[in-house]
Amino acid sequence: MTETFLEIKNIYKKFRGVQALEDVSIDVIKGEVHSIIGENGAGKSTLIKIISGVVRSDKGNVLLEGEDITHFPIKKLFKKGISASHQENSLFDNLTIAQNLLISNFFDYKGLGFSWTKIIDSTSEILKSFGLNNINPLELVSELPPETRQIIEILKSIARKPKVLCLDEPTASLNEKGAQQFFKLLESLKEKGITILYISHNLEEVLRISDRITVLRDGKKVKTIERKEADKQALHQLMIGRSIVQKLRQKIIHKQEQPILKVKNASDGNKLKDISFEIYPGEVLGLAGLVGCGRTELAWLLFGLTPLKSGEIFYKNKLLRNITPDRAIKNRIMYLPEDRKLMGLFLSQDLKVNITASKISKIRKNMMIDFKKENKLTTDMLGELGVRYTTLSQLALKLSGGNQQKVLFGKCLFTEPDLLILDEPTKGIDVGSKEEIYELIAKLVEQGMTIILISSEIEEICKLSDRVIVMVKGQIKDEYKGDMINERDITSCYLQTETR
Amino acid sequence: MKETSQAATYKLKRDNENLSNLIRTYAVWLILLLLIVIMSFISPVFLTLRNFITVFKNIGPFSIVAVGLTFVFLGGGFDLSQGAILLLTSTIIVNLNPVTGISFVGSFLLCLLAAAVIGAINGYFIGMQRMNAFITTLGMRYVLGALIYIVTSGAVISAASKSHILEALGLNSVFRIPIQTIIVAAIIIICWFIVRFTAYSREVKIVGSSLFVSRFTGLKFGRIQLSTYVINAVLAGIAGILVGSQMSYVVPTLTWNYDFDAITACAVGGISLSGGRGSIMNTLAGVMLIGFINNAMVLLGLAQAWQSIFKGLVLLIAIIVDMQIKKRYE
Repeated sequence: MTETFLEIKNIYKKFRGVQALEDVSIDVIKGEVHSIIGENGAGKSTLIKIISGVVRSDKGNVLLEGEDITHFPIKKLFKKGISASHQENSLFDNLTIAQNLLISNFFDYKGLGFSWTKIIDSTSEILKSFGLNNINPLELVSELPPETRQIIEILKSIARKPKVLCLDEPTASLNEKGAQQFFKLLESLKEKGITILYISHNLEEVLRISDRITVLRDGKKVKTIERKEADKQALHQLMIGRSIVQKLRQKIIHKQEQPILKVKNASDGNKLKDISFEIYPGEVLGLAGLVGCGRTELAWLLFGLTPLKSGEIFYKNKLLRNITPDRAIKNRIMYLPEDRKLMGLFLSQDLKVNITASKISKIRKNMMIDFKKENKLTTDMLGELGVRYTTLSQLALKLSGGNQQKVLFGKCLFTEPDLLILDEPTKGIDVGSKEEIYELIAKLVEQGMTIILISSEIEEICKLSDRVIVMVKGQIKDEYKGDMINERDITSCYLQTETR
Repeated sequence: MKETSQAATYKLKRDNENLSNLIRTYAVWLILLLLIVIMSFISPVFLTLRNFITVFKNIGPFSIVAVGLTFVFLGGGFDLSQGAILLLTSTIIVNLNPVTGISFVGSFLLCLLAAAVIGAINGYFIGMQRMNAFITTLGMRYVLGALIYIVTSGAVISAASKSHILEALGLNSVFRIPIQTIIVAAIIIICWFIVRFTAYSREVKIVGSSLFVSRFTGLKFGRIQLSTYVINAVLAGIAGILVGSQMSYVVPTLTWNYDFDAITACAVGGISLSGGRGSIMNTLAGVMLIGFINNAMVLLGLAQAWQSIFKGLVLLIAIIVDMQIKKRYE
């Protein structure tokens, strides 16, 4: 029983300057459910991707039953018995359930000798055996509810009767009922002797199904513990347990003035429900929560990218109606989007164009562009932000991630905002640039700017915010102020409410 | 030590970048020069003022269509309906005056209005409703072509009783330079100025380089894209009027390839077909190259089909060169 089945040995992986995994070693025993937990960005998904062959590790080995299977192509790993269901959907939306299962080699068929009727019959049998009685195997995957999709996704990954099954956040999109069905499925897989690697945020789930639990933090393994020894408190400690970072700036509690922005019972008719909060001038308000809890949606609502369905937004004591991004910019509200390549920068344009794009009126003189002024303002801005560039006509494409992010800051600051909404301002950049951006944020606040900070890095939120709002499933769950802000309370606030 | 080597790589990269841009910008002009030199040895009539005047008069309407299309390309769009708009205005200008007695100025303004409305319809569906530009303008091309055919019953329209102004526009010259060519040059200079210096063209280029990012930048991308289609349509309308003035008759079917020639000229000249990059000078280079290739073919007595083959080859070569430059330096 205690023999090592799957051995992960000293894995290293670096993504564009960011060390995602560092010297991670895990021994997995045959037939166990082994959970891997950790915060956002701890390296869980990367590890699974390395094991299942989607991503190549920089260093280190993966051994299955003593055989070195490092860097095997996915197909070969399938044959060896390693199968994974990733966080990202891997079903073909425009095909039916039966077709999806067929593609993943669920059925044994040779050459042209297969019959559709047979496949459809056996698909519905399989669906029935997992409690999905009313599902037509000819239904398109795109029309299925998320929980059914998730089950199909897992069926797909067990198609080849794997020895090791890797599941990455399988319950993230499931409701209560779906999750129950899913756990039944897991139990039956475990009875069949399949070894399961299970990734989740949700500690209750992990405690419910695991035999052993490995905790990752910042790309490093913290510890592997037996289920018996684990409880929620202990796991929490291990997940967060880094030393408390010293405060970057004195936290202030603003109460004296009128709020600069007041949101009353706002909803977007989709994800956000009944959001009410206030933000005071010169404050940093952190928005914490799991990925997909509605933080970005809230930012889009405030910047006018999505329309307000109900509720009211007051800004500088005036009711804002029909917000659009251009009106928001005129009102001195600016949004820094989370994906700089897709939403933030015009990659095929030069630095001048990027910096001045959101407020061309500043460099306009009688309908013409004032090129001298443009050069001067851009040079000033880039210098102030410490961007390393060659010429002003360099394309944004050619800068490194950290420098691109600084240019994106420049693009936002060029509009001279009073309220700046930052969505994941340090995503995917190296540690040095991260520190520079923290300093920049502190400086901006000192100058009187009001900032809403959205981040999945709880450390970042705690370091910078004066006040933190925790969001869960599109609603505001709780609020922390001043000295009450600490990583442990905030994470447990959004993690514990995720129980099913 | 490491710093300096890094700076050196940067410098090297920058030089390469500038060089590749330079090569691309002037390559078309160089090829054009080469063509002119070779042709002047082969054909005795090639390097004469008369021949050059003919070439410039011939490419007049076509260059205006291409310049109009440049706006659409810069804004990240695509247009196939200019040929149909050109046909429409040339039909109107030739017909309206003799048949209904409306003055030249009246029918001129009507032409521009019609073109602007068509452009606005294209722009509304593509810019505001986010319909596919290719399909929308292709549909517009079919509809307009059929409408003109129905209204004229498909008959060849003789312009026997053209108004005097239209005739003057088509035939008169100042110091041997045709009035048409002067008008075309003026329009091109104005457009060059707009694209080079105005804040409007900056907005167009920004929207063209990424619609999605311009949403996050607070630009009214729908309206900006719409405006490029209106400019394009009005310029195509003006080109139609020039065509109407040149011809002694108008065949009301879509047999002229002004739209495809304009696309070719933009692509050969170096306008980015994915939007956001390019200038009127690029377009002009493409237009002149195609104009002179056509002229050379005629002087050499080669058939029309050979013109198409050369046009196609030049287009393919231009795209291959673009790809190579992209691969090497980006």
